Amino acid sequence: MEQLPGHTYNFKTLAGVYVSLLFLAALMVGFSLVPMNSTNITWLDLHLLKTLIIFAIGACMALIIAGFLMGLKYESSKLNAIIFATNFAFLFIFILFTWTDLGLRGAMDPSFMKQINWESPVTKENAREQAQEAPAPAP
Amino acid sequence: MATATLEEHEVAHHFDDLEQEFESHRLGMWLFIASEIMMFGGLIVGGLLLLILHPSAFAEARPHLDWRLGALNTFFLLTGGFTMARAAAFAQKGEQGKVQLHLVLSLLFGAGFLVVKTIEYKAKFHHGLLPGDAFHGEGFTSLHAATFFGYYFVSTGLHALHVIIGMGIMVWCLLVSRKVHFTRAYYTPVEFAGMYWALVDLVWVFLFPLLYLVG
Repeated sequence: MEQLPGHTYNFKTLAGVYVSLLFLAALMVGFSLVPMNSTNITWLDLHLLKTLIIFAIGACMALIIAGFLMGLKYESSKLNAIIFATNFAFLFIFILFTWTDLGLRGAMDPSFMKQINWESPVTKENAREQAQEAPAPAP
Repeated sequence: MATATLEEHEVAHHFDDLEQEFESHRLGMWLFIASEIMMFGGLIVGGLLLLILHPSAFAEARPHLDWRLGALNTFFLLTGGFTMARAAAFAQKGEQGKVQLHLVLSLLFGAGFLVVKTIEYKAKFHHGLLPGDAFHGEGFTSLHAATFFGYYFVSTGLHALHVIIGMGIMVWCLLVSRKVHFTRAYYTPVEFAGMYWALVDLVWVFLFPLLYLVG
C-alpha cells in the first residue's frame, strides 16, 4: 500500500503532549492566583513579572500545540515551516508599527495632534515621568 | 462498520499521485493557518495594547469573568485536540470505527465549550456588561470598561465561531468516514480537521490568560 509522507501518530507522544498541556494550563492558572500585594518587594514590578510568566507559559503551550498537534515538528517540507515562521515575523512588524504609531503620533508634526484631538498615551506617560524626575525650579 | 463496503480514495485528475495531492493540500492548509494566525495575532496584540494603555479597565472587569469557567473551557479544547489527534492516528491504521468514536468525542468537547460560553454570555447580558453604548454595568469607574467588554465579545465571539466551524468540519469528516476507507495512504480529511482544531487551541491559550488571568 502506498503511504503518505505525513508522520505516524504515536499514542505515548500524544498522551505526553496532552498531560503537558494540562499541567501548563494548571500552572498558568496557579500563577495568576498568587497574591502579589502581600510581598514586600518594591524594586521589581511583580504584577508585570506575573503577566510575563503567564504569557511565557502560554507561548510554551502554543509551541507544543504547533509542534505536535499541528505536526510542525515532523514537517518534511521546509516551505510549510517557513510559512509558519514568516507569519510571526509579519506579526512582529505589525506590533512594531502599531507601537511606534501610538508612541510617536504627533512627534513629527505637532499640528496633527490638534487636527485629530488625540494625545499619545505613551508620550503623555513619558512626559509625566520626565516632569517628576526633573529638579524643582529654584525659588 | 464493515470496511468492505467503503470506497478507496481516488487521486484527483490534476494530481500525479497521492503524495503530490497530499503535499499540495498540506501547503494550502499551512497557508490557511498562516492567514488565521495573522488575524488572531492582530486581535491579541490589540488586547495587549488595551491592557497596557488601560490597566484599570482590566482590573475592574476581570472579576466579572470567572476563571473557573475559562479553565473548564481550556480543558474541553485541549481534550478535544487530543481526541482529534487520536482520530487521525486511527485513520492512519484504517480503524474506521475508532475514528468515528474519537470524532464524536471531539464534537462533544466542542459542544461543552459552547455550552460554557453560552452560560458566560448570558451572565454578561444579565448584568449589562455589553460593548459600547449598550454597556450599563454598575460599580465601574474606568471609562474603558465598555471597551474591555467590546474586546471580550469580539475576541471570544470570533473564537467561538471558529469552534462552530471546527465542529462542522468534524461532522463532515464523520460523513466522509461512512463512505471512504481511511488508510495510511489516505487520511487527509481527519489530519487537517485535527490541524484546524489545534489552531483553535493555539488561539485560546493566549485569549484565556489575556481575558481571565492577567490584569
